[in-house]
Amino acid sequence: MKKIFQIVVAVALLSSLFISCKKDENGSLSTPPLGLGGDTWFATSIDKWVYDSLTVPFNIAAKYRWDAWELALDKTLVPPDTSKVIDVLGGVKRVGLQPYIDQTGSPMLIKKYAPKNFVLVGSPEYNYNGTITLGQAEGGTKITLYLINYFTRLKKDSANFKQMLHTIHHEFGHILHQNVMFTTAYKNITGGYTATWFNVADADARKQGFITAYAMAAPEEDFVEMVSSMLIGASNGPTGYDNYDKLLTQAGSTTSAGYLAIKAKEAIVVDYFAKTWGIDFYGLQTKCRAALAGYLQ
Amino acid sequence: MKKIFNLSVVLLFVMAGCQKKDEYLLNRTPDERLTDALAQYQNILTSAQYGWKVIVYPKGLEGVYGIKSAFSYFMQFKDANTVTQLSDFDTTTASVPKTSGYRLKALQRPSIEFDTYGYIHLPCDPDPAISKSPVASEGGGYGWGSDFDFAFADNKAPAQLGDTIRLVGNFNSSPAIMVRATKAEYDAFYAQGLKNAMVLDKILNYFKKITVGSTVFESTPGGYRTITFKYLDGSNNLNTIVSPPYYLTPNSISFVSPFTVNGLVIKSIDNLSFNAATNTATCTINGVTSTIAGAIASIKTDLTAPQRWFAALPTNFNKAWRSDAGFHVNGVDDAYGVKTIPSFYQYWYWYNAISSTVDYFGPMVISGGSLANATYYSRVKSGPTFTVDGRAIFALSANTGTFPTSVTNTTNLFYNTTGFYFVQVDNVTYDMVSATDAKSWIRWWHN
Repeated sequence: MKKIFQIVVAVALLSSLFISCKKDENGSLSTPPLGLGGDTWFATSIDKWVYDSLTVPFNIAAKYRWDAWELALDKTLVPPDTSKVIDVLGGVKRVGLQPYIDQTGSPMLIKKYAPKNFVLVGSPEYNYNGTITLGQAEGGTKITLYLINYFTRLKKDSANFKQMLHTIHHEFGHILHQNVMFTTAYKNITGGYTATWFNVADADARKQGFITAYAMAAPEEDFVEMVSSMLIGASNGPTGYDNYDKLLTQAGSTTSAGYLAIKAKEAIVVDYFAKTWGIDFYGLQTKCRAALAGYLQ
Repeated sequence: MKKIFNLSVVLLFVMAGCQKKDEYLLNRTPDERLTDALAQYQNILTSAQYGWKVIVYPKGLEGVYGIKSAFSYFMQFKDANTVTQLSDFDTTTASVPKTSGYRLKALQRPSIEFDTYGYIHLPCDPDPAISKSPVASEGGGYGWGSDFDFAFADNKAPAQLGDTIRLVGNFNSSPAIMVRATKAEYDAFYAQGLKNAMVLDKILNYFKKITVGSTVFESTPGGYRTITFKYLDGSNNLNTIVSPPYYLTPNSISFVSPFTVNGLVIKSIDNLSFNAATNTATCTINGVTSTIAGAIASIKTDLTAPQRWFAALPTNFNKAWRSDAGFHVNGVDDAYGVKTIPSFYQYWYWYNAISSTVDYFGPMVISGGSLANATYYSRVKSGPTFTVDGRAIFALSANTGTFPTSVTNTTNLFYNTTGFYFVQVDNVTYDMVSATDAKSWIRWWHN
């Protein structure tokens, strides 16, 4: 009797093992979470252009469709107009990336170091202090370009486009010096870096030996501001966007301290590009300016 | 033995307690149900053969500014993530369809995002020059507080939705409502129905008389998306009521909330039909057949307005009345193009700028970073002739410099011998309306 009881218990135990291991497969766990791997949509000619012109050759992505999580969540922003997207990105490619390829004779530098994500926004971003944001970059990988809906290839209205390129060259400069640092001698040319750089007007900064006010933020910012200003120019207050030579005239006479400081920085930038990356910087500058002039009408 | 037995029983409970039984709602995982819901929503949107009527009620400005508004759209969704829209935003959006992108996305609720720029983004644009935002003076950045990214808010399965879909904005929480359109409505939208409802812009006169039964109202140009009603009360005084913002549907103007003008509660103006030959329109207000017609003068002319306008000059800032854009003529803002003058700032009537008997009428420009008079302008004899019927007639002293066409036309109109009526809009604003036909006017303000 006792044995029978034991057998019954053993069977019960065994069967309970099986029962408890059985999973109710009433929902398929093989379905991946929705949206995993990013949104998908019916590919348009723009998606194809981005893929063929930026993703395949340079491994660069450009997001033009609205994604709130890429942007400031508290700001009123709008997505870009599709009619502007290819013009903007084409300009970025031709004036922002191509000169490097032409100068080095190889796409490797861009493939390896160029910022990888572009996010496009139709409007400017209005800040609470009354200013507006025209371009923004994060961590050397993501660049947000605003004002896409205002884009035009007309030369007279090109300040926004130049600002975009300024941002791109600026960020690209950061990536380069983060890989190989420029000489520490650069930091000692002027000194006087400050967190409150925004209290200084660009023209005043030039008198003190900084090419833009933002260059006063830190030696690294100073360095990349020099790079982008020499390549594409910089904002010059209400009169618009001027190229490097014109900006330099605001630093003072050719014997003034400001002018000499900027010239000394220029020499280090040129030297850095030549020795570190094997790039003739003045040649690159010429190609950038030619590409810009060629892209505008 | 007993011990083993006890242990076995305990073990039995433990084993049974481990049993997993995932009780998924409707026997499917959330991801399966979401995927399915989005596909169903997509199907509902694209299966509407004649598209959707959509009205968005922006909510972003309600809390802080107390501004309500509504925008009306007609939308057709295609499977290829494209949507074609018409909108009541302006005459272009009302008549030229624009195609942009949309996609359905699983956010906290299944949502529809209008993900590239279309007409629905115009009231969302932070640039006040584009959105025509009523809070532009705040420096911009808000638009109308509208949305272009909505969650489906019906709280029922997509399969149970009828012809109406309710949405709520994910950013500003603006409610929106989509109603499946009929063939007739589709035809009406594509037959410029929204543009046809913009009747008040088609009647070119400054003064418009709206006759509802035996009652006569007057309407004068007001702000964007509002209508200014004026009426005479029992003591023959002219009262002004500014309507709440309106939205348009084909051949009809609807207000976001009903309002009262001289005892008449108006919710909408329907069956609008414009007759180009007579420059008048017919409509239905509260079920009563009504007419809208242009008028050359107000139902009650403000007889002393010209004198008040002129008398204010010496105490105005800079002793001037200023206009941001010359004359509005025959329905066209800045018809003569004074804004195309290089470095144009404003058009000024400048008291005693030349001498104690001669005023300045001409453009002001920004020169070398500061405000200056243009090199060409008209010298006006200070003090126009005031007529007893409330007009002011200006007289030329002399012209200075070579006029561009815009200034020539502006000056010619200014010295027309019939003169101008003046309509006081508020404490610091007057409209100067040509008394010849009331189809030309200029808005003067000071600060």
